[in-house]
Amino acid sequence: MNLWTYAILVLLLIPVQTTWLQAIAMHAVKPDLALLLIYFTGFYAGELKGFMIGGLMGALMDFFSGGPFGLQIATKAAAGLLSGLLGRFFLNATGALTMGLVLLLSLLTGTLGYFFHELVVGEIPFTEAFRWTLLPEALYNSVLGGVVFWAVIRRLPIKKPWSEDVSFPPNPD
Amino acid sequence: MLRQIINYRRFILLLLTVLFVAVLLFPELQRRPVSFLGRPVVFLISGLQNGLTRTADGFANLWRGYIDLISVRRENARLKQDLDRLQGENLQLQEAAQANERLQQLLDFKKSNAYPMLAAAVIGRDPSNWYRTLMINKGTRDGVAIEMGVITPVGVVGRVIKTDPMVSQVLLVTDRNSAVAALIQRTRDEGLVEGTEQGLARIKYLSLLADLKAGDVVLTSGLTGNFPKGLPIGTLGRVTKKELDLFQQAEVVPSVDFSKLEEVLVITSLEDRTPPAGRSGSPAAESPKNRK
Repeated sequence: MNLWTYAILVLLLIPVQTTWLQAIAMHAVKPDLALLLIYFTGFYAGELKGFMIGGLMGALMDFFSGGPFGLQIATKAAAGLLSGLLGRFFLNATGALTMGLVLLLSLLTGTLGYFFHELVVGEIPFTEAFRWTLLPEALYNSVLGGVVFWAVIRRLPIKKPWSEDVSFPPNPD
Repeated sequence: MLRQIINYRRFILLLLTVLFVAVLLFPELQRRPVSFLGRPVVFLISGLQNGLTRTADGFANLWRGYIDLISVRRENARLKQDLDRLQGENLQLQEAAQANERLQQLLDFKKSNAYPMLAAAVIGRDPSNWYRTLMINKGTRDGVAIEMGVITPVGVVGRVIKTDPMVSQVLLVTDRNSAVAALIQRTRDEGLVEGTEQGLARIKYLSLLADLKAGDVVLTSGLTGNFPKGLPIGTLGRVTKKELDLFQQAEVVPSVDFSKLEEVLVITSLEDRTPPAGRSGSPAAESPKNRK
């Protein structure tokens, strides 16, 4: 994706996240579109781009969120970095793999966010946070991630930057 | 032989002529045997007639149908366009009527209340699931400041936590970082309403001796600076009372449906603006500060 596509996606995602997504919220939990963008960016474009998009999305979310500034930057940048590393392990993604990785990423970054939140704001039992926020959000993200992969990503001619030299079967030369 | 045939033919012609004349002369003969003989012929011919007429009618109908179809198709398209337009207009009118009703309620509430308020529209919600906040379209330029209380005619919404020149952020009472001083209307017991993980609220620090029942109305106590006394927060749900605890607590079902909020009122000041009885002049300047 070029710079303009990233810019449009980043600018569009926050208004959509803060307005329309309320309509599909279940028990006051809605999916995290920003995390999906960060995951797909990191997974297919590398950890550096994932890290940068994560940081940018996190900063924008912090502007519109009621939490302390920096919390989303940290968690989303970490999500981008982690997605990039995951992308190096799995060269070819499937819908099921995407769902699994998004679930894992969502739980990990959610837990990280929980600990940051505990450091800054304080006392919520982890079990409560896990039951009512972390797990439902991760499941929701996972399902939506699978849908986005199936409907959009797998149809795009995406080539990972580090997979340029990889040829199978190996070239005899 | 030929002569015989000719004679015979003559005889047949003569016989037929006689029969014809007889038929003409005697109506009784027309009715029975002749009509009996004519029936199959009539049936056959009339059948053909029918067939031909129907075929002609069919072609005519087909042609007329084709001609009509063209005009009907055009008319249908026009009617569909009209229908779409009217449906759109109808929706807009319904939306305007509903907005009008809501704004009228806000205005009535604002007029009937003693505190100066500012109406604002909800333009967004928190992007994360960690916080329960709203974004409203009024900011410092309109006089909104941090810690101002936000309500609707139905009850308490929350308080302002961030301000910008044109927008502000409101922390809902259902956020786990929110705390509002409250009292139970029936028993007058005081407590603190906090948000929960589930996006609901609970009232804490209620005396163990308090006789609480599900359905009791929870109001603001006015002890904190954000809200005047007596605004509805919600109703009590399940009450939790443990022997070894110092206090009891209960779930609070908020009176406001936060998922459907579109307009809110920001309490810009807690100074009572109603003029004191028997006095005239500026109510704002003369009224005492009403922080109960």
